[in-house]
Amino acid sequence: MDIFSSRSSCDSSGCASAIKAQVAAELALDEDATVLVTELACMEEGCPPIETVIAVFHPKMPKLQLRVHRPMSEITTSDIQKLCAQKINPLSENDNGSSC
Amino acid sequence: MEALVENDDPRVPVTILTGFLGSGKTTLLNRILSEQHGKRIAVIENEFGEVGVDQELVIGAEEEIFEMNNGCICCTVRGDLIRILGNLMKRRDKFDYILIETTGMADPGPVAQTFFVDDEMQTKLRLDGIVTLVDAKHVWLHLDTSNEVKEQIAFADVLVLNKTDLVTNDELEKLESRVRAMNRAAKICRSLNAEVEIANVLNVGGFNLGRAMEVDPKFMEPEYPFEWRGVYTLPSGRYTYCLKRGPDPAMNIALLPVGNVRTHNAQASVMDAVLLFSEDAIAVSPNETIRPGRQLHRLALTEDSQNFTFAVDAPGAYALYTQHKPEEFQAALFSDSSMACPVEEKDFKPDHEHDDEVSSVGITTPGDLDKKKFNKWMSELLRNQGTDIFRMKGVLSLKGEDNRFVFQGVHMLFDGRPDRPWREEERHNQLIFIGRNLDRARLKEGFHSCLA
Repeated sequence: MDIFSSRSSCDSSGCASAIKAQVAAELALDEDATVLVTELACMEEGCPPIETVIAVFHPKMPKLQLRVHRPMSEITTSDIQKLCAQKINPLSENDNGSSC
Repeated sequence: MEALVENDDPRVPVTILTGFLGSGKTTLLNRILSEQHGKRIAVIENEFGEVGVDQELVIGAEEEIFEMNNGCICCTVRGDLIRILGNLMKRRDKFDYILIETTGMADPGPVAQTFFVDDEMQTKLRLDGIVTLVDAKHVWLHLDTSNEVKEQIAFADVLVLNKTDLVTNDELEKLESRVRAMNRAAKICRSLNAEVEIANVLNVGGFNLGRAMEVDPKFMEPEYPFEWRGVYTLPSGRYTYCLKRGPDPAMNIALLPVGNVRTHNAQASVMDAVLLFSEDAIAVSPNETIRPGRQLHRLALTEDSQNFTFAVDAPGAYALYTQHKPEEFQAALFSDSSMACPVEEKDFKPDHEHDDEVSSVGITTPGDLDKKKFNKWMSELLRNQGTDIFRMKGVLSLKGEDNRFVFQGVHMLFDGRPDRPWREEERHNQLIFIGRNLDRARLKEGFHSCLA
């Protein structure tokens, strides 16, 4: 945790918007869905210092949460693809989003 | 009717209205909506339908707590609000302000944290403040027992003590003093039927980093290392400082020049004295001479009565700072045989005694902070106590940085940035914590260990 650095690795929120758009596309979300992306600090030993949490809110869907142990700015389109595929078919890949 | 204060921030301001059942939230809400302030206000209501709100954009919300915890950070947000605000922003042209009325039992924490977690939301919405209504008569039934009531008071930027007609002035004073002890950073106003000036509740800038330390200046005074100051106007000469045996075998004093006989400013010497009292003192034996200047003196007091000599070379005003109050040692200053009386006196005895589970702790310390040490301390503090720290705000002086650093937080979520450069004022640090079971001494000690 560094309180003196910028609160997020996506200052202009450009990459946050891209992540949200990709999550919405991968999960085929309609316009009632809201996607939230945030970075949480982790202070446990052996845990990466920043974790990105993606949450999907929809009035007709159970809440969905995806986690990547990297800052937002380092998340790739393939990370999102894998995470979303896992959520659609939980047995398809390793659990990239386990908590530390 | 006072017009709402406009500012250059293009984001939509959001005010959270909290208060225990029957405190007058809906009355205040209706009052705000019916005033001619020229604002189009969207309302998110938790107690939808309780009282009719005559407004086009009223959205009902059903409290939906969503935990984003990762084992380190406890971050609980309101899923319903995220969804509603997301949809509301698609109709951005329909309103200028958002009011969220929570239920009487709502914890304001998740509502406030909702505005901290998403960068995109932060670019569109600005949490302006939390306004808490307090029923001046019936709050006493819950103040000691209800966590919700305590948290609603602790989170507030503005506390409206409502229904003042139901209590006496003494009861009102007692309530104000009690809630003030719990939340020193909030502005308090009193009302009958929730009749408050709109400017007191909307656009208050409670989460504005630039206004982070706009709190009662008395509260932010440091806990001084001395208990008394007397200002003496002295002609040049020799003076005798007499003390009797007191509760401590020694007493630290400093004698600082503060101007000439006619114009002097002792207050300007306070920070000098604070710094001086943190340095090593020179031990002074009875009958030794003390000269005014930047030096801390330690007077050994082993006999029943002891005299020390002050040698004043130039006439002027001198501030005598003493570690203990003079009356504890029957201390007095004499010129020849007559007593020299101070022209000004000030007590610095800290007065922070209260026993509420929820309280505020303010720390003010001169000097620069070591960034690394502060980060480490704050990380540990938030990891161990983040759930109990409801809000915190601060202005920091960082070693090697020309600008002030301002920050604020809600539980474990943090927001900070460099602010304006330090000007002529002395570089110092100011923090305020509002929370549950705060250990004042430990917080102070921890913070002081971060000084460079």
